[in-house]
Amino acid sequence: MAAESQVTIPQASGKSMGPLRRHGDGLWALLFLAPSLVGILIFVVGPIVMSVLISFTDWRLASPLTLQSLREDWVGWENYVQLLTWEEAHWSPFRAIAWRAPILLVSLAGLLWLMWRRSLGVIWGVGLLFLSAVLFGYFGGLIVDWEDRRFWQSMWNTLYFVGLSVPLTVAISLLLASALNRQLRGIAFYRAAYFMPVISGAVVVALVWRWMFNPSIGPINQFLGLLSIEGPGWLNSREWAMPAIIITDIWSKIGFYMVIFLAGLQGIPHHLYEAAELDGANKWHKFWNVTLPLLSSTTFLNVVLALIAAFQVFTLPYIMTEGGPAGATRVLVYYMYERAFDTPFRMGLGSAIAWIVFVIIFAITAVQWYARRKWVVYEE
Amino acid sequence: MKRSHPLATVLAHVLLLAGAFLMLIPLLWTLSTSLKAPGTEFSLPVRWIPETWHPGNYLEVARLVPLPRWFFNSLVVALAATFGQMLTGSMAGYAFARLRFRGRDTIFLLFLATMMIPPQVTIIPLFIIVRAFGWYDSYPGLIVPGLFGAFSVFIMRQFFLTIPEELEDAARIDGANHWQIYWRIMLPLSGPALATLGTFTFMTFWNSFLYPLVITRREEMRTLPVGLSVFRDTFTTEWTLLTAGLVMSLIPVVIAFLLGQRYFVRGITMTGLK
Repeated sequence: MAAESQVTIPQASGKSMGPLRRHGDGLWALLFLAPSLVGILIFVVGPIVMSVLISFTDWRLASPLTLQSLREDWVGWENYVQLLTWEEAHWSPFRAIAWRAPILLVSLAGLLWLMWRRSLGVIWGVGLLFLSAVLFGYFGGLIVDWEDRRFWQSMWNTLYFVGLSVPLTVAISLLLASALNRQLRGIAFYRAAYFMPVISGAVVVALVWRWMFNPSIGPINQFLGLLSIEGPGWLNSREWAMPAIIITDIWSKIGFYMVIFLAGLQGIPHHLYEAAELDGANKWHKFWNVTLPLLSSTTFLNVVLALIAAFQVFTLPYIMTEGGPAGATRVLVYYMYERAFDTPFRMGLGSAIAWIVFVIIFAITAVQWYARRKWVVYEE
Repeated sequence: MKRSHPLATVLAHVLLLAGAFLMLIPLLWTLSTSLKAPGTEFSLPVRWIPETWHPGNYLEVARLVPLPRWFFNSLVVALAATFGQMLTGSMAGYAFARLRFRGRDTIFLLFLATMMIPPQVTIIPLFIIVRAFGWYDSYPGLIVPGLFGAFSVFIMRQFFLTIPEELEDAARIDGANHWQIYWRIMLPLSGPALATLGTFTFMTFWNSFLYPLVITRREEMRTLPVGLSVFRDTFTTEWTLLTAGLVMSLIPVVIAFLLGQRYFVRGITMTGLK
């Protein structure tokens, strides 16, 4: 009995060292880890460290990258300051805000008041604040001439893109997944159909939709013409280029999120619905009180994934509009690409932009993680 | 799965069919245009079935751009990354799940932390490093950085932790060393996890765009997505050729997807573990 437990205990508790294996497996670990460790150090950790250093320099690819050249080109926080403080534009934020400021303040006060009166949940309040920031950014972007304020323009453009594309993608894919989550004929067909854009890849999607949106000969405006509606200029117009890209993005992503939702839906135990039915719940009650709460961890995951992907959007604007017209679709990562990989190859400024994107994504994910406790329900 | 009211089923079908229609219509339109005679693609009223079939578009595109070469490049890059990450990921995963050594948890946390950094941050220094190795615009440059990834290590570690240790005990008593346990026992048990990780990696690298865009220059070194993006500038008005090229690039992917749908779907669901 005693001998038996001596053998079994170390195996059951995997982390503690048992009497049978007193010595560590250092050499074996080195063998097993070597490929990943070397690869990740050279191609991931190394670049991360270098990227921090480069972002504090004005290094421009012309000279080879050495410690010497880094020191010579060292500019400290200048890249960040230049990007963040409007200095890039020599432009006062107050002039552009002008008459919009009072409106913003009044609506802000109204929202805070509603939240204080508890007529509005925290999540809704934050959501509406976010929405107003997006709208403000959108109209700001349209009205102000952004010609040399490209960082803030790309920041607002990104917020506009994220603010519309993320909620719509998540909502539509949830709707589709709920419709699909029953005993239906042809599920395989539907799933394949919705998934087709995901496997086609962003480049093909962008090229197909660039053509769909062609104002004179594209199918969309031809169809609108049949309804006697004169379609907008889509990708050629400052107002419609971003909506066109958002539509394309939603179209290409819903299959992906739908599949994750479907997996989550199928994990909800059926007896809960039966219990709700016994209590006299109708369809809507069941969706609102059983499906949504039990699906909330999946929704959380999808929102986080969609937010991260949306902040990194690049391929669609790169191919469909090249950031145009007049920078209306220049998003943060596109701007980074433009700065770093176009003459004069300002790698320092590009790296600084990349880190700002990282900080934004990190902050939003952290906030989500915190808010998760408020709205994600775990089944005990 | 819920059993539902017939009316609800009909409603669901209507909604799903309308959605599927919207999803497929751009692709069907692309297919239809690729078969039209040049110059007839804009004729009104809209024709879904081409009046005269003109498969010559496909030959013309194949003559103008090295589509097979791009396809080959993409396949090489995606397959190398897939098998590379399956190997390096499962090896490191085994170390983190089964071996005892100093600094194990610290190194694992470091690996996890790298997953949070978006690829845009590393793309500039990665470009510089690869160029310094003399790998700019070459296969090693396209392939080598893709052979390692913290995500695959994480997935494989999580999977190995679910395998009961008793399975290895018999082998250990017979004197098998760690490599033999890993290679003969753990890997054969990891079929589903490897297949899922594999499809996911393949999909990621097949569609990867920004990295191959900055790391290649010559036409024959481009991957399919990068090559296709040039279509934008090459065929500004020849829509029949453009669409023929798109269809050709899609056919193999669609076939692969239809064959391995199960793993695609599981691979996606697995991102939930992230």
